[in-house]
Amino acid sequence: MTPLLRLALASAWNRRATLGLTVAAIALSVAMLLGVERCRLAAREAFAQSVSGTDLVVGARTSPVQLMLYAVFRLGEATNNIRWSSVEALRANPAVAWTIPLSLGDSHRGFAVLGTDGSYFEHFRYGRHQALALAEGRAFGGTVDGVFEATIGAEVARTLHYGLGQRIVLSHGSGGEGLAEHADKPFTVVGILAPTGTPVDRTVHVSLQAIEAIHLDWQGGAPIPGLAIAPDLVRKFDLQPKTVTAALVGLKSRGAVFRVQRDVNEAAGEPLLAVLPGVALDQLWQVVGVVERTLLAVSALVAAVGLAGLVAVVLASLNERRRELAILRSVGAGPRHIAALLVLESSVATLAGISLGLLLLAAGAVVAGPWLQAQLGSAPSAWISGAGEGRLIGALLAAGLLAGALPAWRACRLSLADGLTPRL
Amino acid sequence: MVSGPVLDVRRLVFRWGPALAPCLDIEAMRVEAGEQVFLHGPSGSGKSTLLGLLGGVLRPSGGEVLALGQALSALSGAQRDRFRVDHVGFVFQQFNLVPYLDVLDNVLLPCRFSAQRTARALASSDGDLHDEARRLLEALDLPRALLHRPATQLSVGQQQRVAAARALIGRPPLVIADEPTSALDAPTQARFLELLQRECAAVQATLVFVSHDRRLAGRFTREIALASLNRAAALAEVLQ
Repeated sequence: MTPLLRLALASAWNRRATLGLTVAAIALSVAMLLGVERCRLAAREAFAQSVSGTDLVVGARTSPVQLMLYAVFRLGEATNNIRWSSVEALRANPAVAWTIPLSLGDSHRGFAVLGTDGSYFEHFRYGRHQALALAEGRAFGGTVDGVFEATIGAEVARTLHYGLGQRIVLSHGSGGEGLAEHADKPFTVVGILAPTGTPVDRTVHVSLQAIEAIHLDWQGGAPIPGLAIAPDLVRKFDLQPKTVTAALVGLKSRGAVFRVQRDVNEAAGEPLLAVLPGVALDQLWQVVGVVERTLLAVSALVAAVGLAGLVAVVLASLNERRRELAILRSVGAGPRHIAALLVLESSVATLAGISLGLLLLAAGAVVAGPWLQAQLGSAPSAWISGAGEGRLIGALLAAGLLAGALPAWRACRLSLADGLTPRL
Repeated sequence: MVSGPVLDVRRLVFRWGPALAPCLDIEAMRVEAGEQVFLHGPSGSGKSTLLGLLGGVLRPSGGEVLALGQALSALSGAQRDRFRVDHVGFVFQQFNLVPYLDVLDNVLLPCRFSAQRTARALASSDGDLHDEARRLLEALDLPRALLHRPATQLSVGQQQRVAAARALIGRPPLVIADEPTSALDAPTQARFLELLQRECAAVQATLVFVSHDRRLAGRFTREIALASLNRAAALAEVLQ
């Protein structure tokens, strides 16, 4: 086989321009197929880890998916709040390690405002159990003096070009334009969080007391006419919240999760719902599954086009190589030699294309990794990962072999007829 | 090594389809060992078909071809390929050389596929294939400077001499040359023929030289006119 290998190499070198283009086309389709696949996995992983380390999400009784949507993704509105006493009951549960109260409903220029307390910065985890980090400044103050302080997510700061010391006004309610504003009680940005790739980036964080304070002179979603309480005066009021929207719960031991869930769901005080975040996130992911499959189908098509290009190039070069193959036949190369020559070439081209594609991807991951990490919340892997990707590469290789088999079969028929009379 | 005829054609009939009239019908044709035969075949006389049958590329519809005493139709396709490369050297009209190989590699091609040719080439050159290729090329008057040039950089006359060296390497008992001089001008033609005949004699190869150009016939020991030998072609002529 060694002389054949030399022939194949010399022949391929002779047609290096065309073959180079084919290899490049294969490399690009491989990079696209695997790139989409890796971004998909990274996005999925990031999605599944929008919240991590939290054992239960507790809110008013509704559907688990809806509770996740507003409590974790800040999408939509809560149907009902839960009483502060329920949060306190949770905290008193011996199985519970910590709780993070969440109070939602206000917004700032389209970004959700979240009222919470210090436990948020202490216990909230995302991704691979990463804690929140401050890029600049500090967390909002928990004291009475620090009521009108806000700590904003990375995307809020980037989109609105906010820095420390920026004065912002919160709007009542969430969503579109024309919302009533809490203009009399502006907040000061005291901290900016590092990017996480989770909904935290799109959130303005304030204290629970601040949420109470801006609503002191409000009732039923509008300012009470004739009543205006100046910001300086709010400290004279009891700012302890009576209700919150939801709470994230961490347990001392994961083993207790179903017992605590049952305790919450059967609580006598008010109708509550406790959700295991992982289960609800999986349900949510099903919703975007169609998009995901469409992406994969498109990139599979791209790969197919790349391989079809390989077949086309090999078939087209057959005409060009008819003379060469006929000469080889006449000096003793058998049909199997001719077939081997062509299959060898297309498999080496496929292999080279795949390797080049993988290298491209690895280089891309190094260059674009940090940016993707910020966008997706999780960087796509730089090298082959998982059995699924191995199968994809295997399928591409097999397709490359097949792509050589068809021209090989044709060449055998042609060159046999041409064998002793290569007149062109 | 060969005692009987190198080629022995017996009642050979070939038709392209079972329902078609035969295009080749030869009662008998023999070429003895060491002969240099001029096979004259104008176009339409069934020349290509006969070469295909002699080379074992086509299978006869009737009768048989014995090459070196071996009935070709008794061999499988792969065996015929092997037999061909081991025992027959070919020179064609043009497009003889693989364009991306240099002169030396082109000459050595049959040795890459045939252990027998390699063994014989080694035996006649004290164990160096390249020496044997160089010796043949030198005998065929090819300048040494060209040995490592790509085949495409040679003139047509030079290319034909390389092709002849390739047909002769490893001393095949039979050399079939199919219109090898048609692309050459008259002086080059004469020179090429002279070299080819001398080398065939030197390695004791039987030469079957096929051409439509009867002016070359005088240089051969014997002439076979395919048009009169092939009863199918004669019949077609009568019918016209």
